Amino acid sequence: MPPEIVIPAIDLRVIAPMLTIFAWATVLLMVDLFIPSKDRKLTGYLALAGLAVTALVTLAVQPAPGTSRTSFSDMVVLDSFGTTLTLILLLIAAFSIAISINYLSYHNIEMGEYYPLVLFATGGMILLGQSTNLILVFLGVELLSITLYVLTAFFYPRYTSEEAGLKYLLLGAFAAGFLIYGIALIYGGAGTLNLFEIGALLDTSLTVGAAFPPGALLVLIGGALVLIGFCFKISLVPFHMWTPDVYEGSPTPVAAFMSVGTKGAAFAALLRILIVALLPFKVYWLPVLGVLATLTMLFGNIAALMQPNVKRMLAYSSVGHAGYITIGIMTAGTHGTESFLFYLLAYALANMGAFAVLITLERRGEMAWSVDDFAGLWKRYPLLAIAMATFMLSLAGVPPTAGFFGKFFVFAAAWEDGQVFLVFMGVLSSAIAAFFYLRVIIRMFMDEPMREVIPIFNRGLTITIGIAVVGTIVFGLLPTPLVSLVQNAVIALGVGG
Amino acid sequence: MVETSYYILLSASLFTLGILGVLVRRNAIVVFMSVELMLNAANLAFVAFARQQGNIDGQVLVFFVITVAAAEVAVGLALLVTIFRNKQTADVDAISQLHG
Repeated sequence: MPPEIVIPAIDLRVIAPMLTIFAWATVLLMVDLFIPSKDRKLTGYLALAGLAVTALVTLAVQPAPGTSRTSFSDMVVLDSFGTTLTLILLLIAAFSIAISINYLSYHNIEMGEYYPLVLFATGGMILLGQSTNLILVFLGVELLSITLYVLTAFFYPRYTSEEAGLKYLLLGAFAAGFLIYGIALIYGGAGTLNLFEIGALLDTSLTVGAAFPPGALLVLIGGALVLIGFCFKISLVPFHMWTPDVYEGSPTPVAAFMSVGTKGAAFAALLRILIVALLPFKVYWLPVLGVLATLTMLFGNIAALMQPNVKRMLAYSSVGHAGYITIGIMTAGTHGTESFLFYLLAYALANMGAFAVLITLERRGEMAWSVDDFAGLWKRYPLLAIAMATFMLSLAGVPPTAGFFGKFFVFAAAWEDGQVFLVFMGVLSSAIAAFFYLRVIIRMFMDEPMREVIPIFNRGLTITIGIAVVGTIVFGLLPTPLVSLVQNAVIALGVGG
Repeated sequence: MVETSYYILLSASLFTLGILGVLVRRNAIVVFMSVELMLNAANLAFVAFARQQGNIDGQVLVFFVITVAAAEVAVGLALLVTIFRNKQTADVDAISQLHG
């Protein structure tokens, strides 16, 4: 008897943010054909408008805290966790486009496809944050990855950019293989791809029988493979090898977008998988993630210490930050989820800002990003130096910046959860990290200028750096409104304390 | 009817072969083929499990995997062509100007 196909009731409000952004991107791709190439910046402004409309739609469909809507046979969920994450991702995308608009024309790679690609990738990230079905998790990962492969190689015909694109693609596809095979094994063990059903099934099968059922074993192996696939995406040590090369080779705004957006979305999906579906296996994944987080924090920060190239330094620092975010994921049962969202926003502001400063100092046809270019910046462009110093302090976790509270909440959640060793390693690696962040600050404020560097300023860059500085400092001084926002977001997930 | 476990064993061996291919082979095209082998191993597992459990979720997912694989290869081959124009090689060890 063949299985019966039932068309379920559809609630379009649940996917309204995605619908908006995908429709906008598709239309923009066609509209771009009719925009003359000298007005190419218009496409960028239209993409920004699309992000704004999507944000408005997201706010309009936002469910009340504590409630959630599901649709499409429970494949997608709309809850405050998802919408908060969506808004953060839209902000990240808006920053990336704002810093790209003049960058592309300055470096002679101005092509209209760039902006719709960023929108598609953002849509994939939103999908990752909202999906409660492994099919959609896979599709979200691939949607954002494939668009990012193209964006990484966007510096065509610059060879390093192509090389970065190919490296990213080879490792990304390799990771996708692990992800999909893991999903296949989970499906084989549980008979469903729905995260809630997998969780319920594991719960009963693990408590009823004393012996370990074979289905649960398949799910366990599958979960491990899925974890490996995600580790590539969020670049946890030892799956991080591609990160510095890809960031160095890709256009700087794309590196900025990847370093924050991909990580945030992939972590959100991983969080849902671990908490909703694989919670009964917490005894297994908790120590594994603990080891990975420790390695990542230590190795990422120690490697960043050795980098004379600021772009590679930021790449390794993003590896290190992935370690801290992992701690937030591990302690998701207590206050980890809130600390994850807070950390993500603080990290997004500081990192996007730092990359924006890097863009102002980047010269046409040159791939240097040497820390020497920052020497003596304070004497010539004091505001730029202060902005960069703010971002570095926030990334290092020095008060009164948002980064300090991000780290504080993550460590507090871990402490509450009894992960004393992780807190110790986190604080230790933060101390190591402070060295290389402070090195940039010292070069800017203490040293004499090494060579003539003329920063490029434009509206997009100035606004981005301005918002990032103000956000970093305001959330550092007054974290309370943001904390209550993320707390509301977490109640909906049903895991908040 | 053949037991599901045989299909799973076959798919597991294909998956392992794919991993080995990615790690051992140096030609980027062969690496792509190995990745395809990994994805198709997953497809085989999906179809076998779907048959065993009598629901079609697995068979539906196979279509998505095939589509995604096609998109990935399209982008990958385009990148390879541009690199080949620059360097006249598809050897992944030669593609290493970025030190890392």
